[in-house]
Amino acid sequence: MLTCREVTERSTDLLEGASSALDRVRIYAHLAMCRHCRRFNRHLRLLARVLRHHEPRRQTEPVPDQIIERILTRVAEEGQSPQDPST
Amino acid sequence: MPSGSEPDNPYPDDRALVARIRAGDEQAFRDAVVRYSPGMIATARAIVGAANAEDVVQEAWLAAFRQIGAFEHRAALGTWLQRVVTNRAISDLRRRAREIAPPDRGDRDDVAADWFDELGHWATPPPVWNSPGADELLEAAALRDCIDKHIDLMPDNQRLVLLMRDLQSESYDEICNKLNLSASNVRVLLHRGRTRLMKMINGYQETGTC
Repeated sequence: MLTCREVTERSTDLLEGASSALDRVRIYAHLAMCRHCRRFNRHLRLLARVLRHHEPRRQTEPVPDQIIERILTRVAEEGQSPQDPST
Repeated sequence: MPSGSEPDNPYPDDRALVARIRAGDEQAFRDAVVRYSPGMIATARAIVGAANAEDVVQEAWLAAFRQIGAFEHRAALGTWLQRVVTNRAISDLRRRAREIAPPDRGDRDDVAADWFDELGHWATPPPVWNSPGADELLEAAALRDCIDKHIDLMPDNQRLVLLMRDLQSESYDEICNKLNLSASNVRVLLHRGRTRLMKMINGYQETGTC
């Protein structure tokens, strides 16, 4: 019988579909009896879903003009040579 | 990510913007740099630190400009650019001989240490996320800022894996190849990063701060 700590440590493997068949049986058997671990798993799934759509707020802060100009200058100076797209 | 639907946006979608860049339209490229650089700089800063972030973003734009002809719209342009900058940032770390460390297996996840007693049973069970509901709680602007802050505070290896897997939806194969880590180690790091955020959210719900 897995402990609660062991179940929580395996919960990302379960969520990511990486658990062995034996582990899945042991985890689900534990979850059937343990509401705290069920809650932990529910929170973990919810968090993973939220993170998939999470856009860090600072990503919307404008970049100073000088930085934009330095990027454009660098690309203008060095961006003309072709490169294998797979690299 | 901007959707391209703003009234003054001359590009109805990514395809229009990419087509104009491919045609050599300098204004279109400038518009792309202005639109997508904030997110790219934020990602680069999270991986290599503020001091090196601008160089990494310049390298990323150079690579993106050279490779734009091969961009096939399998992902949104912003997502593709995020991957380009992440790749450049990882290369930059490697160039400066900073390897991505695997998790220390001898040290269990100390973030969760006080959740359990010595027998491995819950000592501090997880509180219900209900303020007013779990979805509403997680969508709160203040909590989203806390998520940003705590991602920044993670160890490099946890932060990288969480960014690549959860925020950029990269596959395990891609993450393992780029970071030179096993899938098992990637999952351990991902779990520790998520656990760290769950603990922060538990505390946020009680105190309203992080």
